[in-house]
Amino acid sequence: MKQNLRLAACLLPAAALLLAVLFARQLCPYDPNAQAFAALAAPSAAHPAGTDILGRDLLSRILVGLRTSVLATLALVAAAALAGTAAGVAAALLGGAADAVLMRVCELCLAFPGLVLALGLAALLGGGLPCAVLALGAVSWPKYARLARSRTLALLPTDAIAAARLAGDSACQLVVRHILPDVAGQVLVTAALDTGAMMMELAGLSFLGLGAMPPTAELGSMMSGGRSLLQTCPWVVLGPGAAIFAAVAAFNLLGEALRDALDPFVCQGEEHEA
Amino acid sequence: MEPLLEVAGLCKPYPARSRTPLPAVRDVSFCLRAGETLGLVGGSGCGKTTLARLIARLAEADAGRILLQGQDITRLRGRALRPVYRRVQMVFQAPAASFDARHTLGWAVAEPLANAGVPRAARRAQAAQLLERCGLPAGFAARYPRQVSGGQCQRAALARALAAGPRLLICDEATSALDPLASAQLLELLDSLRRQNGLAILFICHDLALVQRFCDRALVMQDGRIVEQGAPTALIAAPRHPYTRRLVEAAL
Repeated sequence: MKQNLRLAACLLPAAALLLAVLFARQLCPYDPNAQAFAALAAPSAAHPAGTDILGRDLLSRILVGLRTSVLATLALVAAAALAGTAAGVAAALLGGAADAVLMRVCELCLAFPGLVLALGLAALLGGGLPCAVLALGAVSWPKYARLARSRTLALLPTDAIAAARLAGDSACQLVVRHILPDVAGQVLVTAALDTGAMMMELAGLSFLGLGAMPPTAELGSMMSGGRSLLQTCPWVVLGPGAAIFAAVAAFNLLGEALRDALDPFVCQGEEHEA
Repeated sequence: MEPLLEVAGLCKPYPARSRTPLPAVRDVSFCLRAGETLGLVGGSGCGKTTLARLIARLAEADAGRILLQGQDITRLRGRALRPVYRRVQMVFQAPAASFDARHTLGWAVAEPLANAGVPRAARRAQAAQLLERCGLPAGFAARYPRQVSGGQCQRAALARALAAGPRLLICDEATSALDPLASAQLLELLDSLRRQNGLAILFICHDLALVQRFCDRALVMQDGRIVEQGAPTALIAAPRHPYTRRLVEAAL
């Protein structure tokens, strides 16, 4: 019971975030791109988050920006996790030269500071949100590849896998029935915990001008645009910043909840015999 | 009569890639007839399990030959191994660890049936039948490996092995993790299966007394070699090799 409450408390912010993302357009009080109001108005009843330098309602822009950021981050993490898992499992199964090459590529990526590499790649690709997502994805998959590979290597010599081979499973069936379900749990937890960090990095790239392009509302680029006003009109920066903080916190809580739920060493209130 | 299994000059070093590999199995030769129970005795680390995995073709030997019903299976790979797996099955030492914890016992028993092309509806009935034949009520099909005792789990492992319809069953210390009663029940079950279907059993064990009770013939293995073989009673009464003598003394 206590555990269920804890789980609910962890899942609630993520659920709220999901609703805000799904219904961002409906929740917006105004058109996020309409320059219809007084510029740099302080938060008030009409504009709870104030307005920006071009006279756009900030609450509307934060909601739409949150949607952009969250969807881009989820796409990024999903792509990196899928590609990494596929590469890791394949490397473990193939072994030999394929394994060696894949792992050296991973080490090369991991040895380089991720954000710097992503910056270089994003600049090379030409900027814009899709390029930023691609660049971050290209530097974040090795983590998943190593995780999936080590888990697969640990599974392969077990009796359970030997028994499955004796049962007549082909390599494909072995992966689908026995290896992926095991690897997926760990990858999912890592991905959920990674989502917060990725969102920050994506916002960072946007902040540096390599992410979303105006007039697209995106939290990182909104903060970047308002940074010269931090001392005079702090709400221009604090609003998007608070949104990033809330989203990252929600993702981290979700990751923790998933880890607890999937960790075999955390008792799930189920009877363990023998 | 042609032997079911013929092993000649089998060798396997470990680890395979090391510069100074340690031979885990060296020049092992023996044969096994249908319906026969052959005991394989030896201390821990003497290469029993490696030999079992070589015969079951879960690993590949470096030298030597394995003939199963006259067919050379030593160098078969990939898809070609699947018919071999239908004829050779294995029951492992740790019952729960030989099951994927994510699937029920019924699912695991039905897996070989599914791979053999048995339709879904028939599969469930057959799996339940196999479990029942191994002394587990049909309700166990819905249980997970962690929800049953070691003995029950080992029976389910036996049911899964039988699902493939094997001619040779390798029991790799299958009773070591069980209490004496569960162990005796499993042996009884194995014996009745052997009598009913002419199943050949390679019974790997470190307990000489158990081998004497259960096996027609026994091999004694030390450091990867077969050092002595014969009827278990004779081996125990008059051991010729010093290692066998030590094993007998340790057992008494």
